[in-house]
Amino acid sequence: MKVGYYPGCTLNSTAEEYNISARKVCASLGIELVEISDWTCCGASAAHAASHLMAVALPLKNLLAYQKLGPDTLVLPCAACYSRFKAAAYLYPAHEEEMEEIFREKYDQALEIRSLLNFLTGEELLRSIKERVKEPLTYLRVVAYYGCLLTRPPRITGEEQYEYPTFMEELIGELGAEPLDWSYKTECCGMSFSLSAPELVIKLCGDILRNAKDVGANVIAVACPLCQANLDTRQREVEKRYQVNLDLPILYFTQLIGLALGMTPAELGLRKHLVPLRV
Amino acid sequence: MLAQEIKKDIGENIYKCYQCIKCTSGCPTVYAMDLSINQIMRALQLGKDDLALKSKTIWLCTSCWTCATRCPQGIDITSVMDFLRMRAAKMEIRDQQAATIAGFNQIFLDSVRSHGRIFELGMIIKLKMMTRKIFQDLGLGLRMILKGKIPFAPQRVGHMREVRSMFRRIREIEGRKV
Repeated sequence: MKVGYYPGCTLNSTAEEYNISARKVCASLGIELVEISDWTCCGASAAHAASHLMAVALPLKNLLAYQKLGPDTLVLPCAACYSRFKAAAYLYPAHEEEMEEIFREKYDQALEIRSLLNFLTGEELLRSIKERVKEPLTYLRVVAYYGCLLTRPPRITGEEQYEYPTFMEELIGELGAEPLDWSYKTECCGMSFSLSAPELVIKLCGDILRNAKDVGANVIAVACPLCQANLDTRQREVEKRYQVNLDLPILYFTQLIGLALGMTPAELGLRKHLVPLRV
Repeated sequence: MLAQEIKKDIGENIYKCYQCIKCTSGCPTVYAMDLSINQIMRALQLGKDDLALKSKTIWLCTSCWTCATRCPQGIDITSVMDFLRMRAAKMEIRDQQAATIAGFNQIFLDSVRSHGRIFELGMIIKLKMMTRKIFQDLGLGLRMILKGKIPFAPQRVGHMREVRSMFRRIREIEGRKV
C-alpha cells in the first residue's frame, strides 16, 4: 500500500523519534510512505492567528504538491499539521479565487487527509498490527492522550467521539498493554506556549500528568510532537512545582507499536526522551 | 462595531451568545486571563470593542477549540479569537506575557518566511533577544541539544522562490482589501 506522507517540521527536529518509529512501523506493515522533498511548514497555530489567507495557503501549497504525487491518501503524523491541512481543505471553497491567484492552480479536493493514528487504527491495519505482535506490552498501564487537534473541532476533523475518543485505547489493548480511563485525554497541553509562556504549560501539563499518575498509569501515549515535548520536557518542573514524583515516560503510539512488534528501544529512538522508559 | 465586522469577515454572529458560560467552563487557560471568554462575547455585543482588543484573553487562548466545539449556539469562538488577534496585532500590547506570545507568533512566521520551515534554534535566540530572559530554560535547552533534539542549522527546502512568491501574493491580496 502506498500513501502520501507529510512529516512536518518537528519530525525532523524535536520529534525525530516519531518520524523514525512511524517509518519503521509502516515499513513492517508493508505501507510505503511517499514524501515530497520540498514540503513547507503548515503554519501551525501562528498562521491562523495572523491571517486568514496564510492559514489556508500554507497547508494548501503542500496539498497541491501531494495531489500530483499519486496516492489518494495523505497521512500526517503531527496532530497540528493534520488539523491545519483539514482546516485548509474545509476552508478552501470560500477562498478558491484567492488561492488560484496565489498558486495559479486549483485544488481538486480528492485527497483523503488522515492522521497517522486514525490511519493505523483503521479496521484492517489494526488487525494486521495485532497479528504481528511478538512481545505484548503486558508491563504497561497506559493512558491515551489525544490532546486538542486530533478530534477538535469535529466539523473539521469529522470525529464523532470528540470529547471521549477511544480509538487509541483500542490499539493499546491490541498491543497487550492495559488502557486506562481518565479525565484529561482531550485537554490542552499548552501547545506553542512551551516557549512563549512556559508557566502556563507547566500548569496545564501538571493537571494532565497528575491525573495520569492518579489513575495508575506508567506511560502516556501520544500522537502529537507538541504534546510529547510539553509533557516530557516540562515534567521535571511540574514535579518541583507540585511536589510530586511522576516519572511518566511520554511515548509516541508508533513507539508502542514498534516495541510490541519486537523492535528495540534504540531502533525506535526511545533514548531521545528526557523521561526514560524503564523496562 | 467589531461584532458586525466579524459577521462580515468570518460569518460568526456574536449576538447569538446567551451567556451560558460553557466556553469559559471548558477553557484551559481562563484562570490566567483578565476577561473570561463569555465576557469577551458580551463586550463585543455591547460594542465595547476596546475591552476585547486590549484584553490578555485573546493572547492567552491556545486555540484548543474547546469553546467552539461546545458552544450550544454553534459560534466558532476560536475563530473569533483569531479575528480579534489579527486586529489587536496592529495595536500596542501592554501586558508582557501577552506581548511575548504575540511576538513569538511573529517570530514563528518569520522563520517560515525565511526557511520554508521552522528553525527552532533561530526562533529561540530571537525570542530570548525579545524578552531578554537569556537564562530562562537554559538547562532544559542544553538537555535537549544533548539529546539531539535541536538541530543547529535550518532545514533546507528547494524552490524557496515559490515560498517567497506565495507570501508576496498573500500580501498583495490583503493590501487590496484594506
